[in-house]
Amino acid sequence: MASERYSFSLTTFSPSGKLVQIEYALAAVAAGGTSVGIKASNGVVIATENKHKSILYDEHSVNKVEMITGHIGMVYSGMGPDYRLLVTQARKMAQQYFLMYREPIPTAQLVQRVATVMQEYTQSGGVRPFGVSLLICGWDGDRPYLFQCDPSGAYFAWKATAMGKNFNNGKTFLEKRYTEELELDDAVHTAILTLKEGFEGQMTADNIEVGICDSNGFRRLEPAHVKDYLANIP
Amino acid sequence: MSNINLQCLLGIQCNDFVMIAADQTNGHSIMVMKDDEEKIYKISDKLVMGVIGDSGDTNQFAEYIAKNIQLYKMRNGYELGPSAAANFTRRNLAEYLRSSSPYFVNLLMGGYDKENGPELYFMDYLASSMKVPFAAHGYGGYLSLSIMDRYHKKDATEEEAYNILKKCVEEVHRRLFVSLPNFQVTVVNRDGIKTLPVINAASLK
Repeated sequence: MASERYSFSLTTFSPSGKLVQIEYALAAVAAGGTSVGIKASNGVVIATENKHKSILYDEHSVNKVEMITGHIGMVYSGMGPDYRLLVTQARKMAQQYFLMYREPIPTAQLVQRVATVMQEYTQSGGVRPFGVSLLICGWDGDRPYLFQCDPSGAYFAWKATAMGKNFNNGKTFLEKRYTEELELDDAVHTAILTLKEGFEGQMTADNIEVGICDSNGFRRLEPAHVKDYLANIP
Repeated sequence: MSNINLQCLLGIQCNDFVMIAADQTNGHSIMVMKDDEEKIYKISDKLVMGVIGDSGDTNQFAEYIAKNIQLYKMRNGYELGPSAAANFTRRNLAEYLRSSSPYFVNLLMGGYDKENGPELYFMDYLASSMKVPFAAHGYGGYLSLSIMDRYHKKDATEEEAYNILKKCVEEVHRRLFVSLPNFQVTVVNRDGIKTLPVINAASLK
């Protein structure tokens, strides 16, 4: 493997004190498909646009919104292949925790572990940072959680946030719309509206993905279910 | 030859508390080295573990588990619940079992969970683990289990449970050929860990 020959990190400081590779990774994220997450009083919703470059694409075969454990889900903005790796590792870490303690991994702990992996790739030999930011939603201890993980390994807990293309507009939109009393149904509605803000073309149940997490666990919404929500959008 | 079975652990779980008793004898071959050994270890604020077995293994394993539970608390800001801690302990026993240095210990773990209340876990050196209403380890256990069968009830008070343990120790004194004069008693309830008076020949008069 390349890292055998490279004992030095490729992510190095610039004279201004920045890690340029991470800045570039964040740029890759900002160029990726928009994703949003909203924490409601009784659950969390995560959603993303999943536009295909041609009508020949087999929709719904590959998903952006993925389940990590029964009670934790994840979505991303940025590079799909990098995301796949993190999904696999997150799933493994969650099961290892369960094997050790026979209890579902607390969301915050999973986020910490995933973020640690992402940070390692900024300080190890011969590798580059991940070109994704993750939105991780979970339910444990009777309350909902929404976290973002960045290529640098930094993680943040959010009430509501947007990532990827037009994330600034998305966040401004959410700042106006978010309230603490939001229920899950309203949150899904708001999330879809937020996605619509920067959406080019017609939004259908086949080019967006929605996942929700509540006391019953995490699940990705069926396209039919997403269609019902879209019907209520002006 | 090992004296694991010549030591004794007793445990009772009721609606509001878990109570564990352990003999205080430390013997090497035919000699009694100590008659005030503390075999019940504090694992966390609301979790205790009584450990019997080979000298050295007992102390080492108990401290290893206790420190790892504390490490979890430092890392995450909250303590592991009793069932997670019990599973962690069992997993360690299981992993070391098929290594060149297994831990030859039997243990009873008692804890108080905010959601599920008091819990008692029986674990042995073969890494079995079971949540039970009452349990015992050692030859003394053979004499005690039927007493606990007869008198245990879920809604017993701490005093009633202590008296059941006293009955068990009485029987151990009467019928077990090994001399186990003193028994240390600890109780865990919603307020935490409390040490109860030692049960010995004098207190049984």
